[in-house]
Amino acid sequence: MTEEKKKQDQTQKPLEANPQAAITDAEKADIRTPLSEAIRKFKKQKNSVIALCFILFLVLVAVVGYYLVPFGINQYDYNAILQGPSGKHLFGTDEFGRDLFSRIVCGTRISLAVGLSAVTVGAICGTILGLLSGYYGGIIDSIIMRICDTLFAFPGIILAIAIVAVLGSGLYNVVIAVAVFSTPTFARLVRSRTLALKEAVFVQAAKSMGASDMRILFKHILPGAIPEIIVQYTMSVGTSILTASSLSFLGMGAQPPTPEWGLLLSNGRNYLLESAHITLFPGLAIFFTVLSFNIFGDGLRDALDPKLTD
Amino acid sequence: MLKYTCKRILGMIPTLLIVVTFVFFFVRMIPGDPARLVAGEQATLEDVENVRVSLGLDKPIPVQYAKYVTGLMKGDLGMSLRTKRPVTKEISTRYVNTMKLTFISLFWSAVVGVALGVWSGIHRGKWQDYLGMAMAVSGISMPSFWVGFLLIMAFSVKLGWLPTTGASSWKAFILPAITLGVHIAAVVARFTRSSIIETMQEDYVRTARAKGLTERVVIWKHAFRNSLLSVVTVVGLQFGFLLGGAVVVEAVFAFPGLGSLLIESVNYRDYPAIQSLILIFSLQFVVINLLVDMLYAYLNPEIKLQ
Amino acid sequence: MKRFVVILLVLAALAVAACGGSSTPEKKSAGGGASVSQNTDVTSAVNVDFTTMDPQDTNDTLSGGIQRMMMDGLFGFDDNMKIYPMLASGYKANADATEFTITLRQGIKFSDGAAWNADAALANISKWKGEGGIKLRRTSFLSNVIKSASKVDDYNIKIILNKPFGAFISNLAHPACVMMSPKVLAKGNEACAHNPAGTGQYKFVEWVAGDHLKLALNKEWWGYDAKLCGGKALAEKDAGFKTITFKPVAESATRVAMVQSGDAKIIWPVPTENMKSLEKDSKVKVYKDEGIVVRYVFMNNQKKPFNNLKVRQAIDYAINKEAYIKVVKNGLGSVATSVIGPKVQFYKGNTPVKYDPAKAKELLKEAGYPNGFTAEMMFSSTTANQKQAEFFKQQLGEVGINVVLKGMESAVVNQKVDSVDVPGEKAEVQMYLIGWSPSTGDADWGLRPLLAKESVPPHSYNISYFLNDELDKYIKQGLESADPKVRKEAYAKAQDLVWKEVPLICLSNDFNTWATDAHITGVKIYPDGAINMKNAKMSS
Repeated sequence: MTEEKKKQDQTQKPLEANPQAAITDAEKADIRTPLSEAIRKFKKQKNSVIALCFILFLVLVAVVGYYLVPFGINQYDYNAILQGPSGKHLFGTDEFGRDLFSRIVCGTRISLAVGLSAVTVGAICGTILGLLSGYYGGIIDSIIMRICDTLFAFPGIILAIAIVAVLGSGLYNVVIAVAVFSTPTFARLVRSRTLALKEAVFVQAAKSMGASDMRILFKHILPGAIPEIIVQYTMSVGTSILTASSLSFLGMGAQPPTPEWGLLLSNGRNYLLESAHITLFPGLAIFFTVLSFNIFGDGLRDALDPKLTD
Repeated sequence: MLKYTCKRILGMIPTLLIVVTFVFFFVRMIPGDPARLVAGEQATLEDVENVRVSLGLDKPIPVQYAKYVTGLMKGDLGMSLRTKRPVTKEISTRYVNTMKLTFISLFWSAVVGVALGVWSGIHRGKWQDYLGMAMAVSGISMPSFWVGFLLIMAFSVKLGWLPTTGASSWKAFILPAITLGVHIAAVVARFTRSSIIETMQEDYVRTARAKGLTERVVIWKHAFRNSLLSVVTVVGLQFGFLLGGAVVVEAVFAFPGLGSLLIESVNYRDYPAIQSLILIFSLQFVVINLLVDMLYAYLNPEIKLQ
Repeated sequence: MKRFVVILLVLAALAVAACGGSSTPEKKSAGGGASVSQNTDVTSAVNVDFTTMDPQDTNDTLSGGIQRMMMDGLFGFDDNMKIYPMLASGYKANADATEFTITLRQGIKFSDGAAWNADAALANISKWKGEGGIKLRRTSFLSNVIKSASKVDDYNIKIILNKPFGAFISNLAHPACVMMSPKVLAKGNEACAHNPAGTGQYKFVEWVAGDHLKLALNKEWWGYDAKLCGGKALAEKDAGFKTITFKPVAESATRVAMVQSGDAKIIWPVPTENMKSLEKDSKVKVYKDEGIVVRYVFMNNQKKPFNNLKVRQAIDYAINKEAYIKVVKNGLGSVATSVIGPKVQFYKGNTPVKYDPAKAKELLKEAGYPNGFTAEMMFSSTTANQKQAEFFKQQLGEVGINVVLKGMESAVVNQKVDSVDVPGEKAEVQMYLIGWSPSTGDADWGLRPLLAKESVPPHSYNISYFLNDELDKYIKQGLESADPKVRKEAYAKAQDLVWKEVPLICLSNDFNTWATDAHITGVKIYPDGAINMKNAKMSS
């Protein structure tokens, strides 16, 4: 740190009447913006970069996998039931003779879609609630925080089950359920950031200039909370995917013949003893996906944390 | 201290009442008729109506509500629609089982998690850190039912060392406790690690080292002591969740705990049981929060109890 | 002289030893002592928890089966669902099937000391009639049928029905009608539900709901005594276990693991997927036998396109029933040859149609659906149903019928299908998956609740909304006579009609599956799915 400062001092020239020169000099001085700093730090963590690549790979699979798989997801073959992994069927076949590899690949789209959309909805709702709660305080704050506390009081899975019980099973309702229990986490997070930023000088300045509340919230305060939101987002995706597959496992999520990973695992439990591959591969798929989101999230958190220096 | 505790406990009561009322009406929103479920397969309409009367479900809703709430005051949680026994009886054995499982899981995972977290934290950036954190991040990424099945396959079926189900002997608690504990140990390890890293950078640690204390004393007597707060919060949170959130693990191991009772009660639309269980979960959570707060105050006298 | 006395004494001692029977429990005895088996405690894992011990409040086969182990009825079913007299020794009926005089077996006591006689029988019948307030799950079973019951003498009773009911004896053989000790009846329904006492092979010990149920052997059971049984004993002398503990374990993979590890000695049912691997295990013996559960695909006969006979026939041709058994039931079933199973009283078989998707498409074209159609299939989302549903979707997809699967929680399905009270054409259900077994073992209970006009939802299970006066006529004829010849003919005509009109697709007769430790023999399952441990024993 001290060396960089020395470098800056050396290159700094006394202010001239030419502002343009001053700017180019500043650029040459390699001033680091928070964003580039974060990216630099992130790139240094090899495993997070690998995780990110894996995630991008998964997204690619989700988009094009459907068209490239060797077998259809519902292509059954009653003469090839419950076969173990082979050259023809990389992950083996299931109880209807369907190729497990193709089903898992196509399930990527579903799991990612459910995980990402649920957390996105939760993040958006939570952020809005957090902003309002932190900025306005008073009654709004009390009500919102009370609701969040109540939601926090229940284990996530119980909450999800309750919601699915009322709305009915199926993936749409799973998304809603997971979004609902993700919301309080984001709300709390954004609220504390808002409380901190509310008093910052630049916010006071904008206020005194007559900026509207909405403008202040979204143009000034929100950007300050974004790094934490992003980190929480990636961590929540992992939980979201796990919860969705748990719900499918309990029979409340995806319905057959959807190749959702949790449902595939749930089917597999009847064949645990003889055809373990049906349980093994979907479980691995869930594991690696959630793992990569978590590692990526860790890397992001470390990169965005101003306290963690090299 | 005592006054504070009493105030907190009294403050819980209105919250709990709200929860009870909310749940009472919420469960009746769920589609499904408990009378028909209890009457079961091959029941004719007449059977269903007979059952409805015998369960008291033909009375108007306000009457049912009043009955339930007055019962609560007396400590009576109502009669289970599914088993026709008092809900208190249904819950009591399961509660004990869940408590035991929770304590065992929490104990081993807290110990392992803290140890792993400290170990990783003090060797930050080196291979110990990477290994420890790799294990931790894997722990939070594994679906619990998958872990459960793998353990059953390995230790129950192939090796025959441990029973697969139930809560009959102490042995039956081992596999579920491992399955539940994996996730918790991982979370605790991660938290402990960041906490230790933070405290290790504090001035008082440098002072302690400068004073010439051994590294071990520095770590455990100073850095860790101050991380204890975060660790306690995390462990406390997990405790709250374990008491009801072990639903999936209970399903895999056929463990007779509170989580599976909730699922069965929901499947049967057993209103009194569902209401009482949710009430108990909320109560537990509030109590644990209180205990954690009190522990906080004890560990860090600077925190004033308002 | 002295030597002679010694020899005499020795001989006398030997004679006494021989006559006295065994005293050491470990030896297998020829006399009246306990066998190895009868000194062994056994654990069994079952798939759901018991609901109650009161037969009049029971609707699940599991609880009913266990009650049958503790309590006997006037009549019972043998291993093949044939009725035979148990606590009754015989009966007479009038031609109209409105009066039944039943003779009771003598020399039997309940496990709590009460005597089995006309008074005890009447106490039970009074409960069947619904006297004493609270109506239970099975009260309607006989309460609408019995007009009055009276004592002729200590061992003879007369029951008068308020309408002709030919299936009355079958109803008496139903598990809901096993006899509870009058002492327990006097204590009320709570006692019946939690502390039963009967005349059965086993005695109730304790029931910790959710954890286990324990029974102990009743060595004085009348069924062991050939003389009391009127010739042949109901069970072999050394059959039975000292105690049996039943544990509910919902997860089938876990139950299978338990029988393999020895944690459980008896399990049922065995999921069809696990039969093969259990067969390979030398520590376990696996069994299968045809039951009376039949699996159906119901179609709403009042709604398009299912109101067209050709459409229904097309679906019948489009489903490969052999493949169904192979893929969905893992080979554990037999193709259905009637709407009721072969072991049901008055069954008449017909030839199932051969799998012919080409013919199916042709029939659909004739019916006006050359490009098929879309339909919803509802079912309660158990793993077994999900598997079936996917199979049907695949099969019907081949002939152009796009099936949208709608699996729901039981409670929701009940709401949407069983509890609705609208005419068939307005009902939501289009196709529905269900299995049914007539628990009385009689054709009446296999046909009437599923296909009679009076049985449309919400009354009973005619979810096919089949409204056919001719069928109702045959059902009535069968019900209102006690003459087996008349009943047989009526039900034959009924089954032929159902086969012709195809209001529902009959798929298969389920096999019952069970597994025991290799040292255990004699455990069976009744065709209705209930456990049968009469002659079960553990060899050394």
